[in-house]
Amino acid sequence: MFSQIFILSPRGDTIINRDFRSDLPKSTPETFFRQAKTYSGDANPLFNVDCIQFAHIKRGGLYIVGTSRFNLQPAMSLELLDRLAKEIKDFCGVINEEVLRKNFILIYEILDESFDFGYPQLMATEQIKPLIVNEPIQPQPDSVMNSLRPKIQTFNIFVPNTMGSQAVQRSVLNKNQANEIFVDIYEKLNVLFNSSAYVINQSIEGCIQMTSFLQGNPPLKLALNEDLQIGRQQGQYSAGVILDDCNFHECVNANELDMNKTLRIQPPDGQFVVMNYRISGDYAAPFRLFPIIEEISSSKIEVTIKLKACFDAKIIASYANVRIPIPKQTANAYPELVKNAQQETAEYDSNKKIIEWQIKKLCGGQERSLKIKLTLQATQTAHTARKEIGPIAMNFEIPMFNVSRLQIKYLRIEERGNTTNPHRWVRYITQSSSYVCRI
Amino acid sequence: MRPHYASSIASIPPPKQQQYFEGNRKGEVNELKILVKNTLSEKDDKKKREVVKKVIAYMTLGIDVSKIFPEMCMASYTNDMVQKKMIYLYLTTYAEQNKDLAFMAISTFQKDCKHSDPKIRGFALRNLCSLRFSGAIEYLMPAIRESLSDIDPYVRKTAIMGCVKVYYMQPEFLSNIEEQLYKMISDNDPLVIINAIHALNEILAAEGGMALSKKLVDYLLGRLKEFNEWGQATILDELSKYQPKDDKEMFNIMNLLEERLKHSCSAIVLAVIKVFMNFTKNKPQVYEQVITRVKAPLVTLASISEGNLEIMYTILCHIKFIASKGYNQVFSQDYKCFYCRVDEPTYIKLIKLEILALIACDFNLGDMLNELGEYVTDVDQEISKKSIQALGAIALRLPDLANAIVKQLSSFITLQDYITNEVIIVFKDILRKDPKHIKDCLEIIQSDSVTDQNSKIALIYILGQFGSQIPLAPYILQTFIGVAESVELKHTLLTSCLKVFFCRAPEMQEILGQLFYSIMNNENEDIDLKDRAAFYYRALQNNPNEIKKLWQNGIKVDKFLEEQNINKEALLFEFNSLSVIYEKSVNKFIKPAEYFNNLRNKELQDQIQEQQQSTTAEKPDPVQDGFDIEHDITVSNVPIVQNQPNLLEISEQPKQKLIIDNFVLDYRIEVEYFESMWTSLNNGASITRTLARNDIANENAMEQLFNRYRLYNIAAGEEDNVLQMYFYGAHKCQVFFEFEINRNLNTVLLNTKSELEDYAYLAQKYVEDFLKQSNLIV
Repeated sequence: MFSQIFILSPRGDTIINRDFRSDLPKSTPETFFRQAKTYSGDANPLFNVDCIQFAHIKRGGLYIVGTSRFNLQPAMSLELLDRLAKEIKDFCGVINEEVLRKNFILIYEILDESFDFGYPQLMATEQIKPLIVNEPIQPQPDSVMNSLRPKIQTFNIFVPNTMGSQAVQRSVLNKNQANEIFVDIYEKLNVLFNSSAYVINQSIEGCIQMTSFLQGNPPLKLALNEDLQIGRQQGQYSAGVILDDCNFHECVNANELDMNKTLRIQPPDGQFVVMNYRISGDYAAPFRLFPIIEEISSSKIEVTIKLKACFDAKIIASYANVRIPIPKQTANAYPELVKNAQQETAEYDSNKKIIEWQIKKLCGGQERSLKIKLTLQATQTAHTARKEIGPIAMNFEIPMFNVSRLQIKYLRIEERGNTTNPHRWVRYITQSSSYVCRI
Repeated sequence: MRPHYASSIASIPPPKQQQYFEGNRKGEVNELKILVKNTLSEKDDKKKREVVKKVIAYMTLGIDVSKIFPEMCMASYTNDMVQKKMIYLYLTTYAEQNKDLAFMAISTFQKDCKHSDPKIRGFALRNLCSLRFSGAIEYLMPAIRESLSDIDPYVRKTAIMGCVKVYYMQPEFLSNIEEQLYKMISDNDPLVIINAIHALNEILAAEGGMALSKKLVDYLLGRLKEFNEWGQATILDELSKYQPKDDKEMFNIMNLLEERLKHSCSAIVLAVIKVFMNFTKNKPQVYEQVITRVKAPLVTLASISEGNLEIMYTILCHIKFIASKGYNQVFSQDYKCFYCRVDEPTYIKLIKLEILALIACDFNLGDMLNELGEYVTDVDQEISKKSIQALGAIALRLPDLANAIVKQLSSFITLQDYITNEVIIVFKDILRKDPKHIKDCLEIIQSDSVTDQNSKIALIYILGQFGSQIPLAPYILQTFIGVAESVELKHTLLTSCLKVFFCRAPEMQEILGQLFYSIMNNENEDIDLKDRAAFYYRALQNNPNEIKKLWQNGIKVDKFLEEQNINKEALLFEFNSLSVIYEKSVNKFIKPAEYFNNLRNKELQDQIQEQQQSTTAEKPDPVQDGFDIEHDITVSNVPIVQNQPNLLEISEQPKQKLIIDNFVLDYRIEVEYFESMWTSLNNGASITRTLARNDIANENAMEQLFNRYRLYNIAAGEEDNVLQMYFYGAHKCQVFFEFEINRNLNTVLLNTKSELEDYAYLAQKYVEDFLKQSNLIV
């Protein structure tokens, strides 16, 4: 099992360093960081240097690393690190460099209960909670905002950027915690259009995620659509919601799912994913992109992109960003918004040769467009350069909307005891995973 | 234990050795030490917490704060759990370097092990067991044995881990623990069971780990759902080593486990698959059913994994592994799941491309070619190259469909240089196997954007092989003559020029001549290449036709490495292990514990050396003056490496004795210096002898005795009839002693350390001799 666990900042500084077995050199954090930097992109999650095994995950820009001299179970070691990250998140509210630096003693405590001699011990938030004596130190409020909302939206995974989500960014140790539970249905869309706006590939990856602050961890019963069907038969058409496949968290009993579409849940504290599912069938893509490329002259190209929001007018996308790579040989590029455009920006990043078009709010049914005027360097002609435009990638989030129509019919708290009826918050969020239009 | 420091220290000015620890941070650490000392008496826990926290912060940064050990020991007598937890973390981290002082801490740990609160009992025991030095064991074992039968599972599970820790320090203390651990597998608490399994596996590693009986398997399976994810994964991993008695038992277990495939934790799903695979490995039909059954859960984990890209990568590696074992058809339908996404990191995209190359088949090839074609123009060069390689691999594996791929690859030639380079290499492989594709490759071969070394070699090979069909072949080859290139390339060039010469002699004659000239008249040319060129030259002069016949009578290649898409070595890889990720057999990346112990020791030595070098560079060590220099042994302050020849000399004359006159009289060092030297030096010599005389076996008498032989006491303490003393002295170099009289066991223990290992041995002899003379030992 793990010999050491350490957490490094994006620059390689050690924030946490715990040696469980003292059977590996002490210089492993440097060894790790040096090796990780040799990769052109992100480093492989598992690699070995000089017969020392390194397993790591990256969360909030931080490297969470486990080392070993044994032939680890790869999935287990990464799941353990992921669980550790979730514990830290449950106790500290968020996971980022500042929070970790402020709470490093608390994290040592968590580590100490979670691992003994490198073997996983108590790893459920509610099991560790009574053993923890330190209080989480909250970072400065304004810095939270900074860390959560980078100016340019990165391609986050299951991290919603809507305001409501702030509610769950708090510690399970909070004494004045309301008795409540948050249920989120996230769907990440993967759509690939070819140059004639025809969908080549599409799929949905979704999950039902809960963040529980329920007192006493009462059992729950969660009911889903009655027309839900799991497993797709070839050539079968059904009006219902068809999931290709799904899997469940340890705390879920899915025996009644086939019969009456309900899940029985024994919720742990903090955040956990009740169920993951994937859908490969056709669905109406919420956004459509129409790029038009014109060669004005041998050194000038004009790109026009139309974006259409194809969903109900009552629904509003909280942001929609479009990223357009342009030729390496571009001398200059001018993105032009439509006159009177509101809550919209378009910028040219001359280093990366990318146009970032950001739309703050977009209602269903609306249409936006952007015109980009490109001037090329003399070394390339418009004809060859146009091949280098694209693919256009979109990044968006639509709250209170889901494509699969998977719904939570009810969430029942089975043994409520004497406490008041806890609050149950249900949200639907649709995000882009890989939303790409080729040119 | 009551340690006291030799009283003389205070009066004598400290020697200059303390400069060893002059560093940027020395000041800071000293300040911290004072701060801790002052805060100890404070009543305000909040203030104390802050100070202790500061120490831990330094520790995390990798700054050596072991100097504060005594103060932290004192501080450990607190009732504030917040402080206690931090202090214990500190103590366990630095105990190894402060063995003598660590004894002070033990009593606190022991007291807490008997606390009424199981949380504190468990916590104290865990930390007590983490004190990594041999002397602690005696205190450890009673505590562990008691805790193994504690009423609280938290304490029990901690005690089991304690056994493993002891096992790595002094396994002989664990006699017959296995039996008890086996018993604990029937404990009520799941975590106790899991820890017992881990402990048995480590302690019995030499015998292949815990023994699995049918009874035990049934029992664990029956309770499987009581365990958390990691527990389940551990049990399943154990189960994969089990061989069911008959098919009925096998199917029973498999049916029981099947629903676990729906789990969202990849560790469990992979562990179940491993059980299935191992159970059915000798039943090909069932095995194939298993693979078909596990496909959907694997694909689900590979596409979702709660946004955990690292897990996704692991699953993809396992899918690739299964596909490469000859089950690629299983995944062919799901090819779109392995398309690259825009937001995925490179490592995921690369493995997906490898999977796509494996699962391509007639019905998905059309879509896949378009898709891979798109990746060729990706901004990331690595992805672009990999997708070209993937196309090449498909062409080699599916020769009937190769035509379309060659055409597509040819269309990339107007793009970037690195694309052309990669395409040429892929073409070389395709053409070797199936020469008929040459007509589709002509255009790209004659383009001039080949820049990479390997691609040039590939190009030269193609030109030679297909010289008759490529009009420009001789002239392209000519451009490589005399250019500064690698020897490998020149060898290929020589071969190719000859090949073309035999089919197009009139055009090639002059060019070949140029080549011979440039090779044979180059003084610095590789000798093999020169020989080869000269050989061909003479042969051609003699009888060109004969050579031509010989040359064209080539060996027919009909087996290609690429065709064997089943990697033989890979068949032996253990599923759900790092072998699958690295694609290497386990012996290539796992080394025994000793290997790492050496690494750790080397690391320590380097550290000391660095410190020593930096000080010697500044000032010569004054102690040197005290030595007679007639011996050719270099003194301590010179880096160890330079001493090595001398070390050899010493070991050749082991009879050499140390004489009392050569020891420095009234040599003095500081306590901190002693501590750090003692911990940083490697193990020297060690002896245990029977105590012969009890009357002088006390602190004062011993100090006097050693003093007489110019060895000086620096710390001493007595507890439970064990007298422990530390001495030092300086001869050619410094020597340090740990001296222990154990009246319970009637033994005398002497550990000696020195900067020169042979000196430790000689000094040991020296002490042993005078102890014998005084009849303390026999």
